Amino acid sequence: MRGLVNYLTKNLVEFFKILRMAGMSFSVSDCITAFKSLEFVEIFNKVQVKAALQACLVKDETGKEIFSKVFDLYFVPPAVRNEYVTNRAETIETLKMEIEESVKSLNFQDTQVELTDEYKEIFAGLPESEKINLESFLNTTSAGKNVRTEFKQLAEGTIKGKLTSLKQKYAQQLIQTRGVLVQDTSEAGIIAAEVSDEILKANDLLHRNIGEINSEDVPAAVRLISELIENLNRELSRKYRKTGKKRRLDFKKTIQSNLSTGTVLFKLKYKNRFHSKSKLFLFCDVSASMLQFSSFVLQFLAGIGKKFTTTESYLFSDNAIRMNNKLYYDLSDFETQVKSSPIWGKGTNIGVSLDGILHNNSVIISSSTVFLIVSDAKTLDYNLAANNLKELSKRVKRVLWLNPVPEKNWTGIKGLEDFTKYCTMLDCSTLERLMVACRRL
Amino acid sequence: MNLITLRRSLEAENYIFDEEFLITVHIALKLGKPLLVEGAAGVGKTEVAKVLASALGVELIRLQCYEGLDESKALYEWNYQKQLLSIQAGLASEANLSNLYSKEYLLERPLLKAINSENSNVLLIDEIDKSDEEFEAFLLEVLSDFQVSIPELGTIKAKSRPVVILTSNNTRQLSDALKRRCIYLFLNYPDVEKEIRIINARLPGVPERLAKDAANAVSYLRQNSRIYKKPSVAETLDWVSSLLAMDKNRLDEDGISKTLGLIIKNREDMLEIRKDEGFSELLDKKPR
Repeated sequence: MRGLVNYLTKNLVEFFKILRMAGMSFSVSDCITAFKSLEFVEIFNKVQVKAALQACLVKDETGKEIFSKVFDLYFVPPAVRNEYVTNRAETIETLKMEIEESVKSLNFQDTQVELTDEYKEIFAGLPESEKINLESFLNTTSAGKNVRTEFKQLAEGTIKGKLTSLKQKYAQQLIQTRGVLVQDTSEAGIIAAEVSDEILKANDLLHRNIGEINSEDVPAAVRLISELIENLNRELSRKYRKTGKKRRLDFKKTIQSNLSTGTVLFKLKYKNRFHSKSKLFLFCDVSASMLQFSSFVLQFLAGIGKKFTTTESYLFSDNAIRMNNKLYYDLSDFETQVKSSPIWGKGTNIGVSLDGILHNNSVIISSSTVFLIVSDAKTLDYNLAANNLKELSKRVKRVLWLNPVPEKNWTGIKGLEDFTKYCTMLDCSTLERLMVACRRL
Repeated sequence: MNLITLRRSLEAENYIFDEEFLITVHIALKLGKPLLVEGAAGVGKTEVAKVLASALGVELIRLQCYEGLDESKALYEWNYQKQLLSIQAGLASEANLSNLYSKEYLLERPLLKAINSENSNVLLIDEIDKSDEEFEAFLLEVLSDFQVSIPELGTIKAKSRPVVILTSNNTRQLSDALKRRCIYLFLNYPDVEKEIRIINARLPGVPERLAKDAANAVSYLRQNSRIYKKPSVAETLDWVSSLLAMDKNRLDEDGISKTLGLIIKNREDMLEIRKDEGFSELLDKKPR
């Protein structure tokens, strides 16, 4: 019996480890509860054991999906599991060798170009035509007159830049080689990676860069965006907020708290301030640098316009113009209107555009306004932009900034650090990030 | 209550459930932990508490959460009108002034009622995601120790631990601290087979073909990513009831055109369905 308990404990601990590697999060006390729960089910009944462990360890819908897949892969007869793990490990090793082999063709003057694992995986996953293009670029560069070996670094930089842009173009195709070189080939590593990959593929749209959402995915993306806007709407329409600012006397509480003194009003109690509904002010960047995100931006604008009846919308690039809210109901009209506006695809000047908002008497912004900016923050005259943003932040309730550039790349954008002092900047590079951002609001 | 008894009690309530549901509820009862039920609107989350109270033969105490819900609405409030009247009527002399803060003047709200109850009960905290984060934090004390502190009376401990069911539509993320204290159950829309069983259980005498057609149609709508507001189980039941009232024994165009409003509740979805050929194919073209 003790042997069985030890075997079970060892297996469960390993199972918990795989769940965590696959992306689930639970505490030690959850593990203890999970162990305890097994006392109340038939230990040899797989369905009951699965349900009991799931009830204690899972905390959300995605977690349930991960749990179910890991359980089904892990709790199989040991021989079946070993065979699966061995086969998978062999496949991964072969893939690793193929990737390493593939990058050997990238040479600068007979020396192999030095690339990180991530770049190697991208290169190996590319279509043959793209590989040939990169190889011939290197061959041509190496063979030029007066080309010294010191130029290798320059060539490497160019190759890396090209690979980064090709990564976006062939995102779907590159899933096959993603993470292979760093893949753990232990039993736990293999099962966890298998499950994570499946979840990633199933929720591909959520994790894809919003600039890469194509026309086929638009209905699904619109649905997701609608859900997100619904969340945003709910959050902004919350009326009761505790502010701590004492204003109106609360007679009921005052009398109540002064009963002990025979209703002589020694202690005064005040009502929490009642907040009016927030008004949304949408300020959307449609400059040239934002064109790659235009599909997302247009859907987002239309979605916001439909959900928030009190929205004021302005588009900007080198200047700001007001949008007609009635257009939101017909997306094709709306798209035509936006694309034919004089500021579509121009350079960006957030400072000047904000100036137009701050110093225009017909534009109503107040302490109940939530100012939502959708922009990549790439702008001329970022000092003016930061100053105007500072002034704006004092006049409105909150400034939210949705940035379609991934957070890891923000350091390369000039002035962005200053902007973040006066607003809450959220990464919306993928729908998943946007979802997380909306929940953090 | 053991697993077999629980199964029988739930079956006696005409409740359709699967093994996962049964085990999760069983574990929550055995470990004495709150059960957090999440899922889309209309999958039967609130029903879980009602059925469980009925199956256990105990009282159901419900706390409906909303924005701005605070302790005075959820826990207790002093009946100050009664206190004032007592003072003015001279009932409270100087000696027993402290009696003004006795249980006689206490208005019990759902949480205190559940804790103070002599008998065991099911406490349903419905739509917890609608409440504010401050209230969620306040709930943590109640859910971990099943006790509340009233400054004038001291700490009140639960006489018998209530069975706590929390439901959430997932409109906002609940805190990890709250989730950690709960056993988790995610309810999804039922599959076609389960939905037919639910229809038959709730609406005895429904023609077999009608139940099957309605379950298929509803399942089709739920899988259609273009439909924004998915039909709930309760809506399916209402829909089948109205089809029955129209003497339909299967789903046809006539029945659909007159009753579609019972399962599709917004204009965009309605337009989407009308142009969806896949949905039309599910129907029997001849009116019956």
